[in-house]
Amino acid sequence: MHANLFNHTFTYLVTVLKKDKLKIIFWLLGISFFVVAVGHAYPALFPDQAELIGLAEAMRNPMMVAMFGPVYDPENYTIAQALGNQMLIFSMMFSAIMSIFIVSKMTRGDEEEGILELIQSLPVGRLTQTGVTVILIVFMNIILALLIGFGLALIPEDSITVVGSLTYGFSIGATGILMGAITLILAQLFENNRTVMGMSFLVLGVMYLLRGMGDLSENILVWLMPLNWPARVEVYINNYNELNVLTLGVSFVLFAVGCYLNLRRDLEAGMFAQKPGKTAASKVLKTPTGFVLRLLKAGLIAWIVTLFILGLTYGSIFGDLDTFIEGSDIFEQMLPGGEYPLNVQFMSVIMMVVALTAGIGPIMFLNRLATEEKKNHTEHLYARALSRTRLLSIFTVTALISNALLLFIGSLGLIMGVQVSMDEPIGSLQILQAGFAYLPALWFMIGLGVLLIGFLPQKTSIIWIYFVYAFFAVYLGNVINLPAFFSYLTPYGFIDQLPIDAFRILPTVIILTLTAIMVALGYVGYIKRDLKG
Amino acid sequence: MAVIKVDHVSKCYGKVQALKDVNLSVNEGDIYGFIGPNGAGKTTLIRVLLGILKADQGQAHMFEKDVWLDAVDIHKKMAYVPGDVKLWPNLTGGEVIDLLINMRQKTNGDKKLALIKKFDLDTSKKCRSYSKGNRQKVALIAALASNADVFILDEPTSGLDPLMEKVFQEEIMQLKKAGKTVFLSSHILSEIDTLCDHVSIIRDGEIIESGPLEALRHLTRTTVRLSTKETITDLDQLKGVHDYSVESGMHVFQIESKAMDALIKHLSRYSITRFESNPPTLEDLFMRHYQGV
Repeated sequence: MHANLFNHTFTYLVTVLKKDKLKIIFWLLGISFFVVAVGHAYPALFPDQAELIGLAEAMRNPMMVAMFGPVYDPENYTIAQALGNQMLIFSMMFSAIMSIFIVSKMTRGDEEEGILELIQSLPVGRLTQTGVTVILIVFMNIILALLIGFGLALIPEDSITVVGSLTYGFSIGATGILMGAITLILAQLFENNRTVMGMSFLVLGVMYLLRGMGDLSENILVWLMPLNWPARVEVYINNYNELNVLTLGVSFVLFAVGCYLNLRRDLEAGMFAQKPGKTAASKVLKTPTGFVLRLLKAGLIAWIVTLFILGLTYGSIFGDLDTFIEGSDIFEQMLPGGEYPLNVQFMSVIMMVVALTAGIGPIMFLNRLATEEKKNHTEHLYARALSRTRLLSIFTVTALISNALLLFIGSLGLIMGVQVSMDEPIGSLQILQAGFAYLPALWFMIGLGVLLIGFLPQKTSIIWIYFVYAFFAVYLGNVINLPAFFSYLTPYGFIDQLPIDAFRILPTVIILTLTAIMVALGYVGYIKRDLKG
Repeated sequence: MAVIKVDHVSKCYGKVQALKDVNLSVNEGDIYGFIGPNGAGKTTLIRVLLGILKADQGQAHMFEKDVWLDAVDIHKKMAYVPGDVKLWPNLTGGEVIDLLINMRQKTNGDKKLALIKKFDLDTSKKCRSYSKGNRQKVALIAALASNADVFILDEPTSGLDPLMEKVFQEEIMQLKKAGKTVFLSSHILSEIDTLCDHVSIIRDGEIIESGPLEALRHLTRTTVRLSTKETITDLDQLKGVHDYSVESGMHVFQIESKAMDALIKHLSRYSITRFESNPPTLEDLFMRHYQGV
């Protein structure tokens, strides 16, 4: 009955490799270069053993454990252990993100654009597209694992063993394959590319947060989250590669489930039946602003929930932080002796993560305007009595306001978590101030986004490259003490970490002025240029 | 009064010249046909008229306002249906129709319901599940329900079934009666033939023919098939006769419209047993110009 399910898989695979070669190379080299380059910087970062022991102690505080996983062998902490401890989970996120993008695009993305229909009309099997997707994602992750494994093995440092480095790479590859399989299943359940990507990132985020909770209290959550298996291989110590094999095993079961679901459903249909919708637009939808909000509704809700959970999770760690600090001599020695307690200092670091995360959604909301143009949707609007200034303003203002809203929600989650978990909670006002101090930097990114929409509408993704750079420059700058220069290339580097730093008016004014200039230029560009449709 | 006026408009995409010195004038109340092969520049010109693309040279005006500078004002009195209708997959057809109607200032609720019924559209479905024809219906209903004065339609019937095409033609005739102006780009020549008063033909970004449909017909040749009792030998010698041949005793040739009088005078000396003449169709016009003969 299902004869030739995989007919012409090889031919199609070759076509895809040719078509997407640049994209594939960009992902593989981009990720492996970054991971390997950071690895090569490690030996110079911690020249003596005392510093490493101090670092191990710092990494054992609950917040760090929730973010990076446990420290397995603090007495014999080596450079290799520090690398595995601080970088493995984050590097795993790269391969996970790569897999989500590639699988979602090749399944629902191609289906949505009608490409799959064209391919299915050729004498190819019903599972050819799915099969090629699976082969490609497995192949890409294997290459990534090898590039990273051998790249790290070259580091001239005794504790960084070849087996450990290969395990490191293997963990990253296994994570990518796992997320590819999860995305494949989600692509069968939901009908459009955007939803599939959103749900995949949600699953990844929830798994990451829950595994953090698991690592913190060493409970069942540690092993319940498959994402944690590649992370708990105890890289450069015990190299439990069995866990990676287990991850791969589960991934292949998930791939099979994905293929089965794919066969069960019709082209362009989801697993959930469609209900008839409204035959008329609501009052809100009839206004341009209401219409834009409707377009962004799902994303806005998702980001509000994400920020709240993120804030709450981090906030709930603070209770353990207090007891941990009291019991640790080394930690108390590490206190800078300033007027603020250590948990307030950690709050300001946490706030940086919350603020950076709060900046992602609004950039997506703004860039939706460029996507709408690419999809020939804006021509309907501009053929009517709607000016370019007006529509661009609606998107820009929505992005700016949602920055403030998401910062508030993230801070609110943090406040609630802190209130519940701490005996003497950090002041709510302090937390809000720390959060809103980041608003100018988030707005700067929106300004850059408007500038790109005005002049380089085809290249709006440049902002993501800059954002990822900013994230690592600022965030890793804090963790591994990168020179401040790197973070001064981003607006975040100039933000005062309240209440540790005093608030300075000048950087805020400069950032906001630059933002205003970029927005103004972006408007001029957008109003004067040709639109695609 | 010219409602749409295009003066020496040129537009380049990099090195490709999409429009070369295009001139056009559409009078109030005209149903204006705009035909040309794929990639000839039809949609580019329409997008210039909409103020989505900026002309490199020349000017285009609607209602005597500049299409680029006064786009919003112009669009209050203009309705548009794109050639390739792309809609928001998450909204229902009904929602999109309302949304699009409300973005113009004048609306007409009863007309909307009547049109939905006439075009037989299920407005409760999400746009994602609509076929090309149904997406086109959404855009057509949103445009026709408005009280616009000018309608710009870019191949509006390419996805409609013959029944719906008829409904569309009826609607256009209604617009004509109401004195509205329609700028219709199309490939369906019978449609242009039935509906339009004026036609422009565009090829490789240039307008190569323009004028009232009747006048354009005169530019082409009539095909004549005839037989006579006496033998005629000198038909191919007549001025304006082309492609002369003899097929099973019938003289078959094409003749230019202006040579028709001379032919009839010439033939009157012979007794004619059969005479068939096929008037020039738009197809002939089309083929002749498209192939650049």
